Amino acid sequence: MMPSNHLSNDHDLIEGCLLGNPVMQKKLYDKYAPKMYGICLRYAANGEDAKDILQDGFVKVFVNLSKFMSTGSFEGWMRRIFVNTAIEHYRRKNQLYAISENQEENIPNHEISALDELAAEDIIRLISELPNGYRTVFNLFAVEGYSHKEIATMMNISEGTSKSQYARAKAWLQEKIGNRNHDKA
Amino acid sequence: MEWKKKLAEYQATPPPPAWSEVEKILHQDEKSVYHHSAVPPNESWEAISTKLTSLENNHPSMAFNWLRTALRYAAMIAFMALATATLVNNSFRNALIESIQGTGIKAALTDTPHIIKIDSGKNKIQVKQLSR
Repeated sequence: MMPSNHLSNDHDLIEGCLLGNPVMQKKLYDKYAPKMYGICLRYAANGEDAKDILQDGFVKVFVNLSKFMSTGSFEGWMRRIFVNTAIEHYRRKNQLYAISENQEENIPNHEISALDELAAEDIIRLISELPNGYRTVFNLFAVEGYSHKEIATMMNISEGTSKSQYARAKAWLQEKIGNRNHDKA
Repeated sequence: MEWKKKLAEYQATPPPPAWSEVEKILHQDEKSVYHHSAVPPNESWEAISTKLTSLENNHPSMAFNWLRTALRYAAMIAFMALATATLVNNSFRNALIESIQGTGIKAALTDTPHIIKIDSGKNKIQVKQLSR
């Protein structure tokens, strides 16, 4: 029952927005802004950048709303727009630095079995502390689930660069999680 | 007593979680990193709304869009009419006849005496009257 209500609600909101109704636009924003801002925070280097991505992303959503095919998930469609906006934002500000295959092999891989009470908030905080290039690739691969090939196309980099950036990010996070445990102890 | 020392060391510095556990937090249940949400800044909606209004004001009106489409079609029709008139005039037809000089054309022309007269007069095409 819930999904159909949810869908029809989205449908009504989209119809209203297509007619240029500001009330419907605000409702759509209120419904999806928290989730989309969560994405922005993951990709942005700081709060200001996240705010910029959120604004640009929503403007794109409203301008391109007529292109949304009602057959798919609206949230998924919005999510892709925000991810692409974050990548564009990143491109404007940064350059990726590729590391060689040899360097990649030297990255330590701490696979340790014991567990600690890590929460999503902890991981998000650590992701936000990742160096810029690592963070974007890590988000795309480990969180959104894109392949390295897709990431290479999206970011206009080589597949090897995407892999190396991810490996670096993973090693960096593992080290930070390790340090966090040491600090706790 | 060596093992006690090792145990104390292990307890003092518990190892970090395995990467597979981190991956679970990244995108499994509703509380995962993938589904994480945050309260957006208060001023964001106002900024978005202002941008949208400015875009709408800069966007051409509906009436202008209709007029532009109509003008585009009118220009297309005028061009086609002009092209047709230019191509299907006497000189073009005569050039075609000259280039082909086939019996089929001549035979066709004999069925239209008016055209025969004009064309043969201008371009000196020898046309035989075919007996029917």
